Amino acid sequence: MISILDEIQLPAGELLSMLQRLEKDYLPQAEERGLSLVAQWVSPPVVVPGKPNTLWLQWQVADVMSYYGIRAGQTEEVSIFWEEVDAIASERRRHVMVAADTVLPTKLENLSEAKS
Amino acid sequence: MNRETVQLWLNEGICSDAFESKLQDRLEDVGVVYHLGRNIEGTFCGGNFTLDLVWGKEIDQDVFTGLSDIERLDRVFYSVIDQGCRSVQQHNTVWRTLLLRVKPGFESTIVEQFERDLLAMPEYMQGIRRWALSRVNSDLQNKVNGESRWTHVWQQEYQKLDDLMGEYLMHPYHWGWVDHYFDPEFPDCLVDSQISHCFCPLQRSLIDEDIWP
Repeated sequence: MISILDEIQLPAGELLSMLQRLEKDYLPQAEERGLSLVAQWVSPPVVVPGKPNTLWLQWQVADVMSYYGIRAGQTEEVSIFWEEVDAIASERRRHVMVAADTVLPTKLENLSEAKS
Repeated sequence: MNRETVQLWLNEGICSDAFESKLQDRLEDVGVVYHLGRNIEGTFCGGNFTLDLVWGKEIDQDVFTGLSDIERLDRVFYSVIDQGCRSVQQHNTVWRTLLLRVKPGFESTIVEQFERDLLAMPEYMQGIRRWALSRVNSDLQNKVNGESRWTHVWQQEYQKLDDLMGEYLMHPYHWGWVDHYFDPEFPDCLVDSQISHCFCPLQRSLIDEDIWP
């Protein structure tokens, strides 16, 4: 299982309209592409004028081929959605994650046989 | 010394064997170092053949003139940034060519980091036996073939097709790291979504000092 975490920093007061936009413009085709929304979080839990609220969207993808499938299924609407998000958000990052107890691959030990 | 990679599309109904023989005769007449490979199913945005050429002093701009079997060509001239190998010369391997375009407007430091990240892939993947990352030589491209839509050529040699379709695609360094440069949903995506991914059988290595200087 692969998780994707979107981190979107929004100006104060923009959260509700962003969630509505997500519901309307992104979620329907996300499910079709194999991207399942698992959780939505926001911090801080209050609107403070002049301070951003950060929205986290956690998604799940079944496996590696499904991960590539998300891209294969992208439509123009997906691009437009992110363009609109980026026009509002002051910062955005997307993280690709696996369970923390996964043994992570490292550089191969036999690098000595690789030469430039 | 000018290096060129060509994607070559044939007109419908043309016999590939006959064309291959015709083109080989032409290339031998011209005296250019070359490798011609028939693209394997699974290639996308590529032609029927991948042709790699190393020109001496003079490029023969008309090398394909009169070959009426050709529907169209994508000629790309490039300069290698870095290349490497992890094995002695092998025969009958798989040659993969990825043509990509970095979208305009990115700072050179970001593009250089992207290049370093691509070049580090073989450090994680045993199946990549030889590799070369190159920038498209835009001056030469303009002179010979008009402006190229590509900025980079990323070539790899695999011992077998499974290494490309398996380890390369499935490795977390690929999907969990390098892929963000290619995925428009990432805010730091820098590669245009249209890429050319081609692979063909390779009789002898193209990344070898003797053959491919």
